[in-house]
Parts: sequence; C-alpha cells; structure tokens
Amino acid sequence: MVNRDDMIAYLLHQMPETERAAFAERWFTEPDLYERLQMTEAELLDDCARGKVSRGQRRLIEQYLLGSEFQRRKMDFAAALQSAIPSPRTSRVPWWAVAAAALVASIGVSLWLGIENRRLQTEVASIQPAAQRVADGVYAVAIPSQTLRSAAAENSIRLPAGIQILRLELELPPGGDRGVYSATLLAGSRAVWNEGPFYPESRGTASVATIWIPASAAILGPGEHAVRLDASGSPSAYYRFTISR
Amino acid sequence: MTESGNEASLGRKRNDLDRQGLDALLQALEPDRELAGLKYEELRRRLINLFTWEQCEAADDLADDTLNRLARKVMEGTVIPNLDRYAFGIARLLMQEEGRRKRNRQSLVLEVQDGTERSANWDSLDAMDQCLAALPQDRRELIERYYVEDRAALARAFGISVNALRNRAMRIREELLKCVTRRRDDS
Repeated sequence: MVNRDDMIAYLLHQMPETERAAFAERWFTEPDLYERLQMTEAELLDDCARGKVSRGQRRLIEQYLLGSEFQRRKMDFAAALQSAIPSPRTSRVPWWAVAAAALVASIGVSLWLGIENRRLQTEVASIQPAAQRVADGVYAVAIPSQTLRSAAAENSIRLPAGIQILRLELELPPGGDRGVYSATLLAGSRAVWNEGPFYPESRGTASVATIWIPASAAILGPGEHAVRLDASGSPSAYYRFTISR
Repeated sequence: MTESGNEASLGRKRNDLDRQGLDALLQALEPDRELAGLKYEELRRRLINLFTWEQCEAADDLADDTLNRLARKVMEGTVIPNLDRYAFGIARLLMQEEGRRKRNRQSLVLEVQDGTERSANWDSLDAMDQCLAALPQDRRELIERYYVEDRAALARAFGISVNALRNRAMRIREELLKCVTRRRDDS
C-alpha cells in the first residue's frame, strides 16, 4: 500500500532513484494510484497557496512542481480557489467569550440573533478597507486578508482629487509570509503595473505587503482592479477592489 | 463530448500523427470511437504528468511523440498486450533521449512575469467565481466547508469518514478545475 508520504516523496523528488522509477511505472499503469497521486498533488498545491507548507517544502514545490506552464496552471487554479474559498484565520476563543455565549443562549434565541446580527454588522464594517490621506498626494488604504474572498464592491476606494500615489497595505493570509514577493496590478485582463521584489513586514501577528501605485488615470482608472501577489514567482493571493474618483 | 468534438480536440493535439495512425491507435484503445477519444485524451494527460513530474521540458511535445510512436507500433502490427505499459516504456526511452531533469529556475521566473500569464490568472479568478456559482448547492457547500471547517468534524456532520470526505472534495475540485480550464480557454 502506497501512503501519502510516499506520494509526496515522489512528487518532490525525495525518493531514491531506483524506487522512483518503479513507482512511476506503477502509478502510470494503476488508475487508482494515479488518481490518488493527482489528489496528493492537488492538496500540496492547495496547501502551498494557503501558506500551509513549510519553507523547505515550498522550495521543493517550486523546484519540482512549478517548472512548466502546465504545472503553473495548476498552481494558478489553487491560488484562485484559495481566493474564492479562503481558509479561516486560527484564533483562540477566550473563556469569557464562551461564558458570554452560554449566557446569551440562556437568555433566548431571539436576543442572541439580535446580538449576532450586530456583531456581523460590526465585522462587515471592520473589513472595509481603512483609508486615509497620509501625506500630500499620498492616499493609504489597508486591505485585510479577510476580504480576499469578497467581491470588489466591498473594497471600494474613492480616490480624492490631487492624489498622486496610492499606498496599499495588503495583509497576507495567515502563514503567508514566504520571503520575496512581487505585486501586479490588473485592470480587467490587463496587467498595468508591477512592483518587486520586496519583503513583507511583520505587524503584530500579521504580515503586511506595502506597495506604492502611481494614481494616474491610466493606471488606476475607475472600475474594478485586482492586485496579485506572487511569492517566489507563483501567485499567492489576489486583492480585488473598485476605484472611483 | 460528441464524436466530432472529440475529433476536433484530437486534431489539435496529435501533431504529425497521421489519420491512419490515429485510427489504429484509437481502435486499439477502445472499439467505441467516442470512448476511444476520451481514453486518448486521458492517456495524453497522464503522459504529460509523467514528463512534467520527471522534470522534462516540453512535456506536451514528448507526450505527442510517445503517442506517435505508440500509434506506429500499433500500425505495424506489433502485439501489445498492455498499451499503458508499452506507452510507459516508450516514454522512458524518450526521457533517456531527452537527457531528462533539465531545469531552469530563471526561465520560470521570467515566464511568470510574462503578460499572458497575468491575464490567465485574472481570467481564472473570474472563471472560478462562475464555476463555483454553477455547482449544485450541495456540492458547493461541501467544497466550501471542506476548505474552511475542521475536516474531522465535517466528516462526522456528513456521516462519512475523513477519507471519503477528502475523495468527495477532491472530485469536486477536479470538476471545478475542468470548468475553469474550459471557461478560460473559451474566453
């Protein structure tokens, strides 16, 4: 029986050569094993897109699984899937929150629903991009990673008149700080600007990638945009937003 | 897929595999023409994965070359008890000829920065939204919860084993991959 570790060892070239040749022939002629190998590869790429692999494993994935257009399309898919269905943040629930929830439950479902509704409203408000004019001609906007899945309309940026630079502070998904990054601004299907390489900075428990985009109408015209962050050459996150002026 | 659809698809990919050779190979794969087309595509995809995972450059070309040689053997009347195994043997020979395991990290970085690649990523994102929305409610719910919730708890909620949950989720993922690829290629 071939286990998942063996399959990962094969995919990441961590298997002795003689075993590797025999294993390749086996999966090629056994449909079930081939299917399981494809699933293992998909999970590796998913984990990579979600920042759930170690630095060393990520390096092996880049070295052995992302060396062709065919493979990069698989990674592109994993990154798009991560953007559409992001993994949740891991957070510790304090004891008092549990006690409060129990109390709320005992008071009654209707009251709980009211509180929950308010909490959700607050949460929705909190994931709107925080924006401020930080210097003459510079407008700063922070986009938290929770909004990765959101529609662009939820990240609406109204650029004031006279702004020359938009500074975007993009919070990386949990575990997302993976060394050297580059950023590409997309307008529709066109890449209109890019920046890199750069390193994200740590802010408390989060990592933030800061990019500076010229706010000219040619680059940041009204409409939907997305910034794609690439980590070591492969897509790691997309941030979608709408610009209005 | 219709028969004509299959043939159009095969026509794009078979390169210099002539009509007679293709017919012979399809016949050897499966007497039913439509099923044979699907098997051909599956074998080609498997070959591309093999060459890719073995770090060969131009995996598509090598896969087509393998199929050409296989077709030629079939046409010559070579007795081939197991086509998959035979195809693997040809592929292994090709890998030796190719001087495999050539890698060039630098070219990868440059290619990733190419404009076409960026467009493809944007398209993937839109296509993903559409494909997720097109999934039946129960399948969509499963794949969304699979990536968000604790998998052991989710498996219990569905009354299945974690492994069965994984298989279901990965099949839906594969379905999404096909949908996204189709939409992106069509656009």
